[in-house]
Amino acid sequence: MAGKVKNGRIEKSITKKINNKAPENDILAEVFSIINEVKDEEVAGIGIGVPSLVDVEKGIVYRVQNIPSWREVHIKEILESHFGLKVYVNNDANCFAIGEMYFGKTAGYENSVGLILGAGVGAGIIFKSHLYSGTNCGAGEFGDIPYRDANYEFYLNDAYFEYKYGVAAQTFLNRANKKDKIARAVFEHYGTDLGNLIKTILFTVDPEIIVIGGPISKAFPYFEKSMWEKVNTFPYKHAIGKLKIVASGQEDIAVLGAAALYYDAQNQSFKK
Amino acid sequence: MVFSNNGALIGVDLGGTKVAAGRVDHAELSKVVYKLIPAQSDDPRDIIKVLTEVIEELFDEHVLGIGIGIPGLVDREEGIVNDVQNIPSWKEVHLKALLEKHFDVPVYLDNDANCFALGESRFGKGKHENDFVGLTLGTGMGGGIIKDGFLLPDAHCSSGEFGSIPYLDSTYEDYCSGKFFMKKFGFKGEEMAEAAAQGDQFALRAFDEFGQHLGNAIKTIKLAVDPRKVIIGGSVAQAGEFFKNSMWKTLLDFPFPRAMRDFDVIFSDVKNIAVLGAASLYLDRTKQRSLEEQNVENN
Repeated sequence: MAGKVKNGRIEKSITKKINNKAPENDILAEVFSIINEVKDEEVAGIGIGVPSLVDVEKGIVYRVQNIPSWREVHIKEILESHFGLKVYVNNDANCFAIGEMYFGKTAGYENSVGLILGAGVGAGIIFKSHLYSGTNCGAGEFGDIPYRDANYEFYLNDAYFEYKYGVAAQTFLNRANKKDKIARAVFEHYGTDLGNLIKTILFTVDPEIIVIGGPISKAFPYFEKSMWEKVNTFPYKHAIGKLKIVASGQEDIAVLGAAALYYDAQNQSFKK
Repeated sequence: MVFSNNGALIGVDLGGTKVAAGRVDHAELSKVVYKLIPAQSDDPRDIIKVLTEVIEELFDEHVLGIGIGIPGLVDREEGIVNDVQNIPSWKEVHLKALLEKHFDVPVYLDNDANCFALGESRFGKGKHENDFVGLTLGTGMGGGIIKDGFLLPDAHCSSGEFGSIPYLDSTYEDYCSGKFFMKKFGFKGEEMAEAAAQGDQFALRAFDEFGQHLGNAIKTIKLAVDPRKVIIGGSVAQAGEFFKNSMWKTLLDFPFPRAMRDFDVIFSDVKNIAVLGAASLYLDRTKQRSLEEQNVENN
């Protein structure tokens, strides 16, 4: 999906399915064409969110999830020479976090975390109103943190519902919306594990607010209570008292967030 | 305020039973004093009195600022101590305001593990490293995050509290500090280290297991914060040779091998690092790398 963002709004956007099994250059050609469809002379820069490990400085993406041919793509260099515009690349969770800060629920907060719960579990971290990527752009990979006999991603991604109960997360969500008791109990259980992850986030990077996005965030009202019960076992009451946890609720935040990479880079260079 | 050309700093490390204070002149620790504290006293002023006395022993007109490391959580901006381990009478002590009134120089507070990381950054193995995590392993487990050469400006002073992260049936602290040896084997960490040094198989296996848990803790740190290095200090760090191998074995089983290439875990051996770190709070808050930088600027 690509969109042209102006004044914090998506002016035009286009969504296209790609053949994820295609060779590297065929998929790049698709990226060119979709950008071309929304780009006009007003556009000052291009931001791209990718579900992978990213070298932000050099604009290289590595081993992109679900696109086997993209093992090491110098996407910044390729797109900059093609379009003659500044290109910014970051992983999708970082885009989500920065998008929420510019256009969403974490606006006005200096320190926040944007946590995505979906096919994967990952987060972007904002410190002093800027993305905190770590030394290898590996910060915020909370999903891979060891938890119980596996890791957080195993217990909190959408495949877990299928694995554990044989029912898709979306089906449970529909049932929970219809007041189905079993579905509500499943999400209540989910909230307990999520609460442990939230504690892990607090004890590592200590944000003022956590915004939750991704498909499972739609079940927020059903796991909110058990999540907080777990978080409230946190020994430092002063830190908990001020913490906010909210659901994103914004459908097009991924595109807004990718565009916000441009703003983050501009403000970064103003600072220096 | 007039800066002197040979400005000095005072660092104070408040512990559960005693307080250590030191003075830094010309980027070196020139004097250290220790005093026992009446930790169990009902009157919070009793401890403040001892603190004031040790600082007075080191204080003169050259002192630019005072930093204090606290074994608990503090409100950095307001300079309030909220909760301190082992000092029950201290609830919401406005320590910064009290000491600034008495000494008339800036006073800065932070958590002791943050002070350790900061001390390593200015006086230890982190001197040439801008992004690292300082991890203290002793009777407990704590940490501090250095980002771009300065302490991470977090929201509630609880970043880097890695010991409190949920792990297995409890938290990392129960598996990666002296508590592990006591709870699981009924021995103190020091006793285990002595036995391991003599080749005792039981003790060596205990450290081997300890290293696996620590490997998981460092993996967690790497995934959350992604530092270039982790610098380990505290009493347990001295037994590093006994758990290093199993720690690395666990650590190298990492989901992003590329990220491990330029990553390292090293052990600290700087004496009085807690006091040096507390003194460095002045440099951190005034955005300076070193005291020389300050003195050069004012010459």
